[in-house]
Amino acid sequence: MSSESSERFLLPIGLIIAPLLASLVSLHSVYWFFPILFGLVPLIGYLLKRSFFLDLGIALSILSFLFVNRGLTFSLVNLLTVVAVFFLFLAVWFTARNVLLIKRMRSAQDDTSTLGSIASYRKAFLGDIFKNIFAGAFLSIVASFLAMYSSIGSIKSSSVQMLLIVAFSTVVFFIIYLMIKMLTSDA
Amino acid sequence: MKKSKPFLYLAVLAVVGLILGNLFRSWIFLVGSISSLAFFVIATRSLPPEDLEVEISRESEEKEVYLGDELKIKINVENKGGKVRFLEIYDLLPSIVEIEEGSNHQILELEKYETKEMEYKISFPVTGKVELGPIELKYKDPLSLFSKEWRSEKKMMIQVLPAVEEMQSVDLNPSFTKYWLGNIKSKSIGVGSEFFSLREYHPGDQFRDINWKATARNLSPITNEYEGEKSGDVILVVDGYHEGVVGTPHNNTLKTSINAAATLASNILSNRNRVGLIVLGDYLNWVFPQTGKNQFHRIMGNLTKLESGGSWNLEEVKWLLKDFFPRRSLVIFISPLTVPEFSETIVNLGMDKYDVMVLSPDPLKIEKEIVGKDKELEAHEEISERLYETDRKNLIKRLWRYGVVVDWDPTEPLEPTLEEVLKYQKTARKP
Repeated sequence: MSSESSERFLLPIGLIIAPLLASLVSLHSVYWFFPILFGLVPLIGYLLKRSFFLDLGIALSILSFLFVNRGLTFSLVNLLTVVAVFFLFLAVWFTARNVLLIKRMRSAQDDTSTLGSIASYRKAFLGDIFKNIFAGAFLSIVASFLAMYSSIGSIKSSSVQMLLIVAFSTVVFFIIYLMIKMLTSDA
Repeated sequence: MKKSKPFLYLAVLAVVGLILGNLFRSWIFLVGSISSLAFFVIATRSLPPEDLEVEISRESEEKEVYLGDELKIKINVENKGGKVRFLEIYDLLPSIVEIEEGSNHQILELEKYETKEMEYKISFPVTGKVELGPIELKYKDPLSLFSKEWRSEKKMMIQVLPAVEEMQSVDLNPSFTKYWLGNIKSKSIGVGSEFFSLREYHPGDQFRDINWKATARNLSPITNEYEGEKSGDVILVVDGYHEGVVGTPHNNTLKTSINAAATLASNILSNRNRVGLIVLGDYLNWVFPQTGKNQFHRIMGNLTKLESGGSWNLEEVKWLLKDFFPRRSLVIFISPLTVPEFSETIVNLGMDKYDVMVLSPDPLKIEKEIVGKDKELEAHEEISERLYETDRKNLIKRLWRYGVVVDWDPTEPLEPTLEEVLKYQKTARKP
């Protein structure tokens, strides 16, 4: 299948499948249709080539999926399902963004030499995205597993559990702060 | 370094996940936060390398190009640091520059210490100075989460010279010759290469000038005499009055006048004549007659800078010609003849016994080229066109009394028209 047809059909199909799958695993909830509903926003954003709607739609879809499944009991299968759906959304999101970027670059010029370099970038980025997604998913599963079982899951008292969650949150906030500080330094 | 919107959304997801996790006491939100953070950690591998150092250099910083010619721009991109997966390079060009081949916007992948070349061809529709650059560079990671933009201030100055038409069959020479050597046959004895006559040998004559056949016949030494080849002075006067310019900024009577002046200067200088220049545009400037390549560059430089404008008193042109420029020069006026005062100056100079020639690009032809030749004219437009043509014909007829007038269709090459007029002038002069 040519690159144009894959951009035209495969990616919109991916953008439909991800929220459908999210809704399918959320059928136990009365709000199971939320991911489908919010999933329409990124699809429209992609078709209209508006990255704002694509970004916002994916973020809302992920949040709605987490919200719908908030009552789910913790188990390895559930953890894997949640992480898989989360990273499926991320994969579709970053692929769609890069495709939009390439489309924009391609429409800005009709020169063949530049199109060659765009095509090679197009080939390269897909591999990079999926490498990052798989590595991220693996790290996320390990981290979640460790967080749930080693510190929170083993303690039965709900107040201690709450305290640990707050401590964990504080540490995470601190890491985010350090990360932002590191990334904002241009030097 | 810039962070993209997905970065922001992922950060928001991580924070909101923590808040909602605490609020709903649900592990699933915490997994969302952890997943976002895990993705961030992985994505940090794609941060711009700390040793990101890309050096940009241009093949040259200054160049001269003739109007209509293509110019190849070469930019060297040297990676002095680690591998760069995505580097966007954008050479900023002024809007008048036209890209003929390649692109000023490219995406490169650079290995460690690799050098790549970026090439594209451009052309210029107008004369003048054009500055290319600066060059914008953008690094992006594969996920487009981070980007880094910077500029290379490497600029390139291009001087777009007027187009010079090569004339093979036309030699434009002044009627009056001066003492210095040139290519014009002076019809008198002097230094030259063409045989003129024979005379008796005088002491001091060069040995190689002795005509041995004639010496043998005469039994006394006879020397060859040659036709003197001299040169003259030509002054080009370019009319750049703003109110008389007809056409668009890229195609108008002034641009064609400038191109014609450059062509004439090149032709006249190639015959070893001296050429001077007076330009009447947004400023009044002149170049004193001289010969050689340097003079050609001086004239081209002045023509390149010429812009329409000005409200000069044409008496100044007369004063310049009388007091600064050599007498008995051929004065060539290059004008669309749309300003009556300019035509009157030509008449006055002609009456003052100046050797005058007028080269007039027809503004109507330029206008038709712009509008489209096949455009059907309305009745009032047809009448005004005819009136204008009659006025122009009468004016040209009047100017013919004082010198040669070349009524030139600027959509056609100059050489055939000039050749035709010069031939006509020669036959008209014969009794």
